[in-house]
Amino acid sequence: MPDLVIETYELTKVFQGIGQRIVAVNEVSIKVPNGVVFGLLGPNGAGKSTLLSMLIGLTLPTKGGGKVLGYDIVKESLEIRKRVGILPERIGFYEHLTPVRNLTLIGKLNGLSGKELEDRIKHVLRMVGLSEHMHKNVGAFSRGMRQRLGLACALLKDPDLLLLDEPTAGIDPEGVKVFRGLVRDLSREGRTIVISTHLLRELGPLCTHIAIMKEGRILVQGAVKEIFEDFLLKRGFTYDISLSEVADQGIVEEIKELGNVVDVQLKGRDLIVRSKVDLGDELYDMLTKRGYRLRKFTMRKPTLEDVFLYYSRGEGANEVG
Amino acid sequence: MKWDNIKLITSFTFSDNIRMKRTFALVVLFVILFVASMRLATLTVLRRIPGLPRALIRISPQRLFLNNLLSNLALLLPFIGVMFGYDAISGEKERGTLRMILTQPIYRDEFLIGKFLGALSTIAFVILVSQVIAMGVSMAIYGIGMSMDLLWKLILFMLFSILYSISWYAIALLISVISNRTSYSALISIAIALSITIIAPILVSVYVTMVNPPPIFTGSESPSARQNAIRKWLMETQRLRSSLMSFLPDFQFQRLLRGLIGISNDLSFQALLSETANVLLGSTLSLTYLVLMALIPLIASFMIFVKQELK
Repeated sequence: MPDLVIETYELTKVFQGIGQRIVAVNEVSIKVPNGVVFGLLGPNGAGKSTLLSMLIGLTLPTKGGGKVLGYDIVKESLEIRKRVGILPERIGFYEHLTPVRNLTLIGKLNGLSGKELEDRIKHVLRMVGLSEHMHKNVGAFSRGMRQRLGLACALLKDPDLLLLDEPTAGIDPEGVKVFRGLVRDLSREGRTIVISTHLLRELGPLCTHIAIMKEGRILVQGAVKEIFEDFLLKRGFTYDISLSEVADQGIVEEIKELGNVVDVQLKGRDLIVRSKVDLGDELYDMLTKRGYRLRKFTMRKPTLEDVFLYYSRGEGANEVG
Repeated sequence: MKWDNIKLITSFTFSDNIRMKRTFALVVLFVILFVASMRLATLTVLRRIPGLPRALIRISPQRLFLNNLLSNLALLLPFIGVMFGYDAISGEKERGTLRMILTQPIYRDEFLIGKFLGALSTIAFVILVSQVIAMGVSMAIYGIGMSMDLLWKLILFMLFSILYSISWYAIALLISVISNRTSYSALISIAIALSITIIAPILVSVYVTMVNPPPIFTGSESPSARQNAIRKWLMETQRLRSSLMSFLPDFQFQRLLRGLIGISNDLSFQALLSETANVLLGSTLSLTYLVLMALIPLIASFMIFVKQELK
């Protein structure tokens, strides 16, 4: 297994229509290390699905190239599809058939047969929690059950790499919770999982690595920890402070004198301080020495949404770590 | 190309088609058609020769039966092809199953060949089963016996019916490949089938009457001159009609099969084969037309499908 399970260079896809030219993916170079949960994050229309389609040879790139598990995405796409479990966006099933029959077709296309196939089907249905529905027709399944069946399809070949395209879109909160649990379990087994999603809150916390995509471009990519550190360094630190009594305006000037302070807002007893570096200790010491009792002193923790908004506005750099 | 994948898609498509209500409906329709053709033929003969023993009807209504059958088949077969072709790919796109299949280790051409062979087997199955049932019913009800030449002609009818139906399937398949919506591909395919099988012959007749109107007599012509003028008009109408109709697949199919109906009865098998070969050689143009009608849209479907962007 290569250290980088996915590596692309300047991957570009242009759709030519009548009188229009859409650059769906624009010179994307991504690197996905082995064993991580990689979130491909971005709004609808960012080019995530097209990028994933190109990785498995479903769509041919207009320019650039890449490798998945060491195989060329253009010349060896069949080898990739043999080894990668894929849950495409808007996956469909033969509704009049049971999950077992749908999975049998998928299994046979992957070279499985007989007892081995039967056992694998039972195993994956158990993994995704559909064992008790194995004899019902898929037509009777809810959206969440279908997505779980899609995951079962992806897992049937026991892949080391999973590509999940918008896996929780349209699923109810309970279904999302179940899905998250499944992804966590799969990640613990050492599989590399790439999740493309626009639902940052739902799946973002699962990711160890992310790439933020917008309008076909990768805005930032790397390990989540490093991206957050980078974000804090660039965006600065924000402290929410609540004093026990109303402060005078002089405190604002005093805080500014600490250096590296970007902005101080005082509203009665509440202070919001923004600084370029971590001033938590200095600020705390200064306020307590001045005799203020602090009812609240917290540093705002950035969320994935904050990071996404920051980079999507073009304020961040391209790569972290 | 992996033959296992093609076999898998073929058998899956076949079993999927066989389960569909439309397949059952088609078999029933075909059986009714066969039996009705047989019944019409026996009734016609019985009316013509009252008192004829039933056993002798065996040969004489054959030509009538096959002619009736041919007219009905020519009308029905395009719609069978369309029925299995219009959603072959667009249906898979719409349901999302195409995406599910193509993300597996299978080439697109393997998938399309599998779909085509699956449809071919289904169409052959529908025609074969309905013919067997209908012949059984006809023999039981009307006491019609099966002769070797009738059996032979029915086999040939079946083979060319499959070819004709498949060429319509190929057209519907092409539309289905291009379209992303089943309703759209159904509408276009049916419109094409209706235009070519029903509307075009009507338009041809209207056009022929316009460019070659019937002769107008002043009353001063001699009866023989009138007869000559009418004969000339009829011949010109027939010539114009035939040359225009020869562009239509329906006409080529009927021409090919009428040649087969004309094969003499009560021949030895050897002689039957030889006469069939002669008829087919004489109908090379019709045969080539039908084969090309199947091949061209099929090749176009392959070329488009393997390069198509999946939305």
